[in-house]
Amino acid sequence: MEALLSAVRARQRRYLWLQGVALGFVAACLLWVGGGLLGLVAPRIGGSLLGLAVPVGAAVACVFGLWLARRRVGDDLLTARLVGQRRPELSLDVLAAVELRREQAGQANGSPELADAFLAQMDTRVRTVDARSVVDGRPAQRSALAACGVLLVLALVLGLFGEKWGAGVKRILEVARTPVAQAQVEPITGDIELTYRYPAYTGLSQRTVPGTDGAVSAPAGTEVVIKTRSDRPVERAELVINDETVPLQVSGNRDLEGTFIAKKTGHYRFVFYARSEKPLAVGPDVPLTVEADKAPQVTLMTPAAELEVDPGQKVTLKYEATDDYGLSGLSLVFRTPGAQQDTRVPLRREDGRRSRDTYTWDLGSLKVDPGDRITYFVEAQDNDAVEGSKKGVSRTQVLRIYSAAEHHRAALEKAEQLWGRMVDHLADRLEGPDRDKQKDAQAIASAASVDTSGQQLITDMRTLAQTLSRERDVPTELVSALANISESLGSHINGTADFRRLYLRTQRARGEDWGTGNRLSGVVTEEIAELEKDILYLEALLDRQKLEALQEMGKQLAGERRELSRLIEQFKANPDESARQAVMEQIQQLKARIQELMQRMAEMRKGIRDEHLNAEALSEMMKDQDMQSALDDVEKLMREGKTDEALAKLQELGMQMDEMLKGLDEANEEFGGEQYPELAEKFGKFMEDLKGTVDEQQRVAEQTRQLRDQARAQNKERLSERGESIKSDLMRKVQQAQQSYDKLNPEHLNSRAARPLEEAQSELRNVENALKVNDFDLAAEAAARAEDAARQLAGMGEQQKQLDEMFGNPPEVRQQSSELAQRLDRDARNVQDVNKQLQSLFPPPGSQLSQQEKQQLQQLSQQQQQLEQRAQDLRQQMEEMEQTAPLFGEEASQQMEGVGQRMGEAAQRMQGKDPGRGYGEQQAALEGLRQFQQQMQQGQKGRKGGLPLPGGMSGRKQGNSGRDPKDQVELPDEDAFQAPKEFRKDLLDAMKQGAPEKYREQVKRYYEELVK
Amino acid sequence: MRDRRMNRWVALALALGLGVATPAVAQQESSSLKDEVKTRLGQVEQGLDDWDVPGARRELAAVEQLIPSDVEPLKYYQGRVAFEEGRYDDAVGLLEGANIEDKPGSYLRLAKDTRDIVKSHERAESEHFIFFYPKGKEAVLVPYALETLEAIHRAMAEDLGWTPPGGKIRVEVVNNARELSKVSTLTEKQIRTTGTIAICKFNKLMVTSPKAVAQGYDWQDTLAHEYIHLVVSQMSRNTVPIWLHEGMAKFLESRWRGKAGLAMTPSTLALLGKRVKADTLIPFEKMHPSIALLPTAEDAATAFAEVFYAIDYVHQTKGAAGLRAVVRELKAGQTDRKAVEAAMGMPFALFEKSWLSHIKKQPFPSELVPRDDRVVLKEDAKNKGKEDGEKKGREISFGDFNEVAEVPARKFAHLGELLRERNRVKAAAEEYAKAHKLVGDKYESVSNKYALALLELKRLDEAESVLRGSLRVHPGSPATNVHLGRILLHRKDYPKSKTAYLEALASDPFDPEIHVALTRIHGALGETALASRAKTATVVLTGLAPAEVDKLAQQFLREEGELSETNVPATGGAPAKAATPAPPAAGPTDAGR
Repeated sequence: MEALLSAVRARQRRYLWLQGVALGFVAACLLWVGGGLLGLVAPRIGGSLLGLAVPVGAAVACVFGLWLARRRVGDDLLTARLVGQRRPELSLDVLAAVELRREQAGQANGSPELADAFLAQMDTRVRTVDARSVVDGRPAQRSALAACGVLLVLALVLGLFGEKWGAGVKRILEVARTPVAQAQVEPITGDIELTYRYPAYTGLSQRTVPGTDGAVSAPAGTEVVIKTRSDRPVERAELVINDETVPLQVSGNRDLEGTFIAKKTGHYRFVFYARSEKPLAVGPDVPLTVEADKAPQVTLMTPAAELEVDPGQKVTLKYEATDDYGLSGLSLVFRTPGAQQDTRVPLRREDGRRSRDTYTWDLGSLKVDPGDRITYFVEAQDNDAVEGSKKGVSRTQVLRIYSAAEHHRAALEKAEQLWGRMVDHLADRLEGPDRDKQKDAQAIASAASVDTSGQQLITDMRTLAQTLSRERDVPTELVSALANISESLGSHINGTADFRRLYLRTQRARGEDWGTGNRLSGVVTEEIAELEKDILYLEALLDRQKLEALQEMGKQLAGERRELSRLIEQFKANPDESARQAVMEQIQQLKARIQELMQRMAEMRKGIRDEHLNAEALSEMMKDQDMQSALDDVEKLMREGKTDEALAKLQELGMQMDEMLKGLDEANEEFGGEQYPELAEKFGKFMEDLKGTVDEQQRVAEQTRQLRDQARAQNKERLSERGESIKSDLMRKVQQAQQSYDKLNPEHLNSRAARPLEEAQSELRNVENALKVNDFDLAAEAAARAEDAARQLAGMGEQQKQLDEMFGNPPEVRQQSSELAQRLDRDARNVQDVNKQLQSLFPPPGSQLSQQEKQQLQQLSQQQQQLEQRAQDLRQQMEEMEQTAPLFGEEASQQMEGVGQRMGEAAQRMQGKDPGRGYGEQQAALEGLRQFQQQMQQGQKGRKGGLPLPGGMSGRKQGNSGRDPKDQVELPDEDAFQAPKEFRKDLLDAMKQGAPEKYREQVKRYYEELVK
Repeated sequence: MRDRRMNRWVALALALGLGVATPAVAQQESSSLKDEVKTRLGQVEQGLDDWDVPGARRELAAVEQLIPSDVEPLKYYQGRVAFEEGRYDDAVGLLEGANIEDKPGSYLRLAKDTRDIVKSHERAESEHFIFFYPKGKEAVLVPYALETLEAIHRAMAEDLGWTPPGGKIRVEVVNNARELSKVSTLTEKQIRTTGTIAICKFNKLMVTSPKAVAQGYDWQDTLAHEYIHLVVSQMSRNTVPIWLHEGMAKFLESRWRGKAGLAMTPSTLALLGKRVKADTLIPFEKMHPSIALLPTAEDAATAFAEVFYAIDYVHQTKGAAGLRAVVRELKAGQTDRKAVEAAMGMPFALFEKSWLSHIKKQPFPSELVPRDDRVVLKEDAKNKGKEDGEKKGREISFGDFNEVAEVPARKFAHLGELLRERNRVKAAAEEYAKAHKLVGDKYESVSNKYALALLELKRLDEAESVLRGSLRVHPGSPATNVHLGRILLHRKDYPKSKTAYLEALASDPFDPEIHVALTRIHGALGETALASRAKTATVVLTGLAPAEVDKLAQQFLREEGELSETNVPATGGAPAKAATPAPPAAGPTDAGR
């Protein structure tokens, strides 16, 4: 039975321990997790919780395992009662047996045998009893389950907030590591007076700051004089500055004074001594700040970061350099390509902390080639005499030496891109549904995107033509071709778009196309033909440009070779090491350049698609190995000192290059002739005819002039008398008209009004001037032209008025245009009147001519008619050529048409026996012809035969003066980089408000800097 | 190009030298011995002149019995004979022993150059020929070359009744014009200006590898052509004048593959037609003594065409016996006129009249076809095409259209190529169609580019029609045949495809595509031996392993996309496939005989 009781008790204890451990573990975990999380906000509390976790866990376990065990498990009686409760079959027998046994051990009151028998029986009965059935294990199980549940929850919490928990723990650890702030050391001195004696280089005057807490802030090298009073009588005192000791002078046991040099940032403290060596008192650490001397700040204000300049141009640099204490040097630092080291140019510098100036940099002295890049910056040095001077530099900028070849290449690339888009557009049209016999309206509608992309292409082409026309060194023929193509192709694309809309509208409205589909096919076919023509011609032009670029490169190579020869000759005449070095360097440069050019040539050559250009043969001539190896030989010979042989070798190379250049020249000259044989022939004939027409017109005009002069001479006196009488009236009218035109703003009419207005004004001035000198002939001629212009203006005014009425514009607008129309009409009549009066001075045309002269004029008139016919023929030829290539464009056609009209007008005047006006018209025609001829000749660049090139038309020529790279040098106003006025005012106001005493000087300095 | 007078002079000088050089012998031998040596050496010379090397050898053997072996004239002739027999090392040793100066044009220089060029050549033999070829891809030529040579050998035995005596005929392949110049004594300039590609001289055939010619050339016909020159020279003892020589060789060169007279090109026929129409044929008198002396190249081409029809007329009237009779009469010492009269049994004037009337009966093309009988060496070609080893890919090039004389057509073709370059094939086809409409089948370049675009658009029937049209005007064009072959192979029409590819091979044997295609075709037709031959060639040209070749051949042209853009790899300096179709060199000028 004892065994049972003992087993029961042991089990009870075990369960209690189990419960205790489970609950203790849970409690520890709760504290652990909670402490960690709390550590984020309250590290100390969190830390405490963490610290408590294990003890609390252990305590809980002990409570169960020890205290509760003692109370619940108790002695045998308690256990026996428990057994009796749990095993009803034993009832209180077990308790009785226990008590009986106790009594047996003491004084037995009953029969010992019976008692033994009972005990023996009980032993037998309890033998079958299992302690497990007596002790209830469920509380332990519940505790374990609860613990598991809590642990799971904690695990979840850690999963979610693990990082925070980690951070909390980290914080707790950090806080734990932080030593507890030392006990505040109380100051042991009163207010401290500091006197700063700055280093000389800073230019700062000595400064005394009384009543400070002792904190020192000064540039390195500053001598600091410190004065204070101790809070107790001392025998001796010292300063401990960054572990160095500086004795203080003690006067009257309390007043302390000492000096030290601020060298590095740290702390200092006062230490007092009585008689003994042991410090009497140690003051708190006082901050010592050594202000660093900053490197100078340099700013390059102009020019822009990258600027294109002409070789030899002057570039103005505007720079500013500042330093906290002063500048000792300022220089421009640059490097040219190939230079081994930087070049420095000293710049002007103002004394003081700020230097602001401009420097005109003359690039003429530099040896640079087109396309080279010069990098440069401004460097400043400060005057730091303590730690040594420091450097500051501006940002590095670049000057790019203008290279016509690069611009040329860039223009070519852009044009080629557009050309590629033209080919794609052609493909789109060819593959599109527009020409299908059975049209699908939906497909036709979707092909509208091709119209849009085509229109965009035209816009881009026009834009490029305009952009290029403003640049210099771009191929004019390419610009003209682009402009011509954008005109002709643009009208076709717009036509296609219009017909597409028409087709779709008809289709939608009526269900059938009413023939618009066929018309659409027709216009697309025409557009395709135009595209084909334009693509081929533009391609030929591009190829030609590439060929020219090849030529240019070849010339560069030849030039370099000549330079090398010159150097070798020099060396031969004066053989010294530096000359030899120059030769060697030139050889290296030449080799590198050949390599580069060869590569570029190869790329260029690949891009030429012309069937006839024997580019392969050309490239064979240029085989770089040959040139390279020839240069290798030259180099070798130079090393061996065989200058004559090196020169001979170079001569050979030169011949090879000449051969190559000759080949390129020939190829260029003939280029396109095979592609466009008919065009070349027609163009040649056209130019001949043009020349013939010009010559003939000149001849006829000259003869007409002679007749005119004869008639004038006869009229001169009579004219003078009659003219004098009406002169003042005429002058008044002319001035009246002039004033009216001066007030006119052409924008009120339309965009085309500017020209006639200008003409009217100019001619009226001519009339006025001619009248002043009694030149009535000239006045009459000018008046006739002024009348034309005035009529045009009046017509435009009337047109504008009608338009405003038609579109129902606001009444005030209509009123305005109506008044303007009236005014212009009045002016026109005025001018007409002047003209009429002047013309009336002259006898009727032909009246002064003899019969013979009349006959002669008649003949000349016939010849002039023939010339008009020739002009028409020329125009027809132009149209024919336009079918093959966009050589002329709308403007040229109009120009030639204008010439024809003038010629017709001249013939008519001469028919009417008016040699004066006839000659005027002839002159105008001749001028137009010459201008046209000149444009076409310029376009051909002096070539005869080969691919005809479009002429640069007048409109483009005006804008073709080329952009000067100097324009890009920005030189803003002096004020541009200064602070705005408002800002400066604010700052000055702020300055007035003052600052705390100890910052006053610094603040003042700061504001001064800002408003500068 | 033998200068008989020069050789006789040398013989004489040597004979005299014999007396001077060996005074002891001269004193001891009777004058009859001197005469005999002189006579026999003269006969050696004559034998060599008459293309009778065995005869010369026999005479020389007799001389060797009469005089010591170190006599220089003996060595000279021994060297000459050794050279003609292809024993170049011996020839160099002997000629050096004869103190012949080593200068350009001398036999010693010739022997040295030839020895150096062929010393590392591979050799292959058939019953009647030894084929020497440079190591590398020329190995591909061997079976086809030997087949061609044996075939023409049989045909000439049948037609002219002559088989060359004295063992197997040497055929030497050289790499380029420079080498041809060295082994033939023609200058490089002469070779380039005349377009000479092969020569029959020194008792052997010398041909330039097709790899040296920009667009390939009809190398199999050329081999046959040169062999006929050899036969005619030997058979007649070198008595046939050039005009007859060329006429016969040109007329008979197609015998290796069928009937005689198939080698006339439409372009030459068109030229002849133009001259007939303009009544500007070259009369026989003007051809005499040499066609080469005619004022223009066109006159010479016309004369050659007329001569071709002269032989055609003889053959038509008298058959091969007529040709044999002409040669026989010439050998017997008759003039060319007399020989023809004897063979035809009519006065020469009548023959001439009948001949010209025969010419006029020919079916001339309606319009002039560009001349395509000029051989352009690769290094002279404007458009060199792709480099060796490069894949054919899309075959974009513009230079091919420079032959198109009609400007509008050329422009349309150019636009087509521009569009094809940008992968706008449908649009490209339309532009090509415009060009093709303007010039028809006149230009291979236009037809082939048009066909390629159509192939890419899967319009196979139209492409085939264009290609067949082109082949009517430019038969044998390798590129056209390859493109046609692709269509036929794609349709699995193996026999026709085989014909097309073999035609292409006859001009451009180094295009790996041809051999890959043939591997597949022979395989499909069950021609295992031929398939194996094509496979071997493919291995040589592509560098692929045999198993990979099988795979490649099986996959070849299974996809429609491959019709216009095949990517058969080429390695080991495979031939630069003409980037675009180009005229076959239908009639290489074989300047020397």
